Amino acid sequence: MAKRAAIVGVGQTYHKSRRPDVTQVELINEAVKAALDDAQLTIKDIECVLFGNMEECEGSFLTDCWATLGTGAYMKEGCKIYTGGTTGTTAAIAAAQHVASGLFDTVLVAAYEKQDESVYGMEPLGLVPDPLWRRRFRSGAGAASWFARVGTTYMAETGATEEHAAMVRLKADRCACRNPHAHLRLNLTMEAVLKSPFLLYPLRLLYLCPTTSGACALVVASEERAKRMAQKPVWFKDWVIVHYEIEGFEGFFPEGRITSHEQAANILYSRNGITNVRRDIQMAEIYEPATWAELQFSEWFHFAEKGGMWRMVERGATDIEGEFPINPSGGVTCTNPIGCTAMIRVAEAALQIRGDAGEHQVTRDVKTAVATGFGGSFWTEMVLLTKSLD
Amino acid sequence: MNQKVPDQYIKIPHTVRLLYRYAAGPYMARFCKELRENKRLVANRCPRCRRILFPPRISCPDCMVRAADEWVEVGPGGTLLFFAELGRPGIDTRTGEVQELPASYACLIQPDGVLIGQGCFSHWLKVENPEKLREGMRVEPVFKEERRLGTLEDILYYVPVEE
Amino acid sequence: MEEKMVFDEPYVAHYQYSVGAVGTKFFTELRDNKKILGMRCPACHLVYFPPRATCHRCLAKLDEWVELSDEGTLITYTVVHYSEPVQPQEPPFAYGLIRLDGADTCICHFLGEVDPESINIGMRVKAVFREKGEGNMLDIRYFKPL
Ligand SMILES: [Zn+2]
Ligand SMILES: [Zn+2]
Repeated sequence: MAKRAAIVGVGQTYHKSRRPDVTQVELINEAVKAALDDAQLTIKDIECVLFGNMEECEGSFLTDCWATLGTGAYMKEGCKIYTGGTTGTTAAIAAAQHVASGLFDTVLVAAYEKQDESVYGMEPLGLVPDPLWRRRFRSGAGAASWFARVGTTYMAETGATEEHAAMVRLKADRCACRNPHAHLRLNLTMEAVLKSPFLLYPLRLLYLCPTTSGACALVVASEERAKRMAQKPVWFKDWVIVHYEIEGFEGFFPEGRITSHEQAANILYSRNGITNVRRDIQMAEIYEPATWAELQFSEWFHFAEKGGMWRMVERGATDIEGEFPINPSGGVTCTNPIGCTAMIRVAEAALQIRGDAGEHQVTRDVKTAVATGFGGSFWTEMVLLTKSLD
Repeated sequence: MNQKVPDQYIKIPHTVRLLYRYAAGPYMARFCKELRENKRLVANRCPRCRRILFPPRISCPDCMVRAADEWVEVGPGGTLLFFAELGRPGIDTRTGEVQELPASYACLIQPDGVLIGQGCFSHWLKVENPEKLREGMRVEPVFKEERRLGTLEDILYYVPVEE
Repeated sequence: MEEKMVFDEPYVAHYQYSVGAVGTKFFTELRDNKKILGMRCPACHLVYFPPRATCHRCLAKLDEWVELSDEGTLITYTVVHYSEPVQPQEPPFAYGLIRLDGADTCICHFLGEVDPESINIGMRVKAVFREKGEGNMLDIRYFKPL
C-alpha cells in the first residue's frame, strides 16, 4: 500500500529574462533555500534530492552532478529527471512517488531553466525532434505554427473571436501583475494586446510564452512527517501521465481521436470520482504555452463544455475572483523557464490550497486544485492536490 | 575585503561542436533507400490491425505488435493539412547559424494512401499565389535531381497544385 | 548484406555562461590584480576555491572572502599521452589537482614548465599568470613546480 505524500514547502525565484548576477547553480539554490525556509527545515532534514532541467537550454550536461552545490544533494540520494516541457511535473510526481514508496520521509525536488545562457534563446531545442524525420523542418511546423492552428481551429469550431484570445491574455497579465514572482508584468490594455504583431495569424507575439530564467523547488513529506511538521500540508491525491503517438501528431489531431489532455483528464476524474469538474475542483494551474492553448486545453480538461470556454472567459469566470480561476499566477505566457514551468504550476496550485498565494489568492475557497504539464511532442501530466487527507 | 561587486557581470562564451551519427535501423533504412534511389515514399503495415505505419517502424503503436515486412508505396503527393508563412528563420542546429530556408512556407502533408491520424509529416511549401492556398488542397513534391542522400531533404519542397 | 543507413550530423550551439556576482568578483580580481580569492564557510570551517555563493554542505549563503596564496600543493596528477580533437594541448601534457595554501578544496589545472617524469604527489607548485588577463580560468596559464 502506497503512503500518502504532501507538499510541505514551496519556493521559487523571481523570474526574469536575464539573471547574469547568478550562475545556474546559484539560481537553483535560491529556490531550494526558499522551499526549505517555507518548510522550516534545513538541508539536514532532507533525505533525498530530485532535480530537473532541460539540458539543451544551457548546453551544460550532467547538471544533476555539478548542480549538487545548489540543490543540496551533497551525500544524499536522488537523481535527475528530464522529460522536456513536462520536466517540472514529472519531477514533482517523482518526489511524491519517492515518498509514497515508503523509502523516504522527506524529499526535496528542484527544477530550473536559465535561458539567458543560450545565445539564441530556445534554439538549442532544435536538437529535440527525431533527426531522421522531423528535425530539419522544425522551423516550419514548430510550436508557434501549431498554436496558430489551435487558434484558427478554435475560432472556426466554437464561434469564438480574436477578442476572446485577447481577453485571456489580458486576464493573464492582470494575474501576473499581482504575482511578484511572474516574469512579464506588463499592465496591458485591450488596445495594446490587439496591437501586438502576429507571428502567424492568429497568434500574436504577446500570445507566446517568453524565455525566462528561474527556478522552483518543493519539499515533499510523508503523511507521518507532514502531519507533525507542517501547518498546512497540501496532499497529492493522484497524478496521471499520458503520452501520444508522436508520428501521428505533427501538431495535428485527427477527428475521432482524443488528445492526451482529454485522455489524462478522463482517467484522473474517473479515478477520483470527479463528476462535476468545476464543482469538485476549485481552480487550475495549467501549462498553456500560448494564449490560444488556454482556451483549447481548458476544454480538453473539461473545465468547460466543448466550445464553451470563451463564454466563461467573457464573463470573467477564469479570473482570480471568478467561479473557476485558471492560472491566477499569470501562467506560462507570462513566465516560462521551460524545465521548471510545470513545477511552478504545482507550486502555485499548492499555495492556492494553503491560502498563501498573497495578492493573487483566488476568492473561491480551494479544497482541490489541479496542475498540469505539457510536453513538446504532446504528452500530458496532471497532478491533483487536496487540502485534506481523505 | 568588502569590495562592491561590479555591476557588469562576466559571462564566459562557449560554443558546443559535436558530431553525431544516427542509425536509421532496418525499417527506416528501406524508406531512405527508396527515397534516394527511386524518389518513392514507402510505409509498412501492422499485421494485426492492418494500419499503415508511416514513417515505417518496428511496431504498431495501437496494437504493440511487431510490424510486418509488408511494404506499400504512399504519396509522394498528398493533401495539405496545414500551412504557415515563415517569419524569422530559426537556427540550424547543424551550423549554429540562421537556417537557410528553401521556401517561405512550412506545411504539414498527409501523403496519399495514409489515413489521417496514421502519419503525416512537415515539409517546406513553395508558394506562388498565397491567396489561393487552402487546407485540403493537393501538393506535389519537387525532388533533388542529384546527390540524394536518403533523407527527407531529398525533396526540396512541396508545391500546391491549383485547380 | 543490406546496406545500413547512417547519417552524420554536426551539432553546433552557442552558449554564454553567467559566472554570477561571486564569480565576477573572483574573475575580476584574477584578471586585474592577479589575486586569487576563496570563500569561507564559517559554520563548516572550510575555505572554498574556487569561491562559491553557497556552502554545499550547510547551504549557508557565503560572503567571507579570503585572499589565497598563489602557491599550493599537488594532490594528484595525470599525464596525457594520446591526442583527440577536444584536447586543449598537444600531448604529452599534465593535469594536476592543486590545493592552494589557505584553501580546503582543490582545482584541476594544467602543470607546466615541468618534465612529466619528475612530477610527484605532494610537490609544491606556483601559479603562472597570463600577462593580460581575460577574466576566465585560463588567466592562470598553469602551475609550475617551485
Ligand atoms: Zn496495429
Ligand atoms: Zn557550510
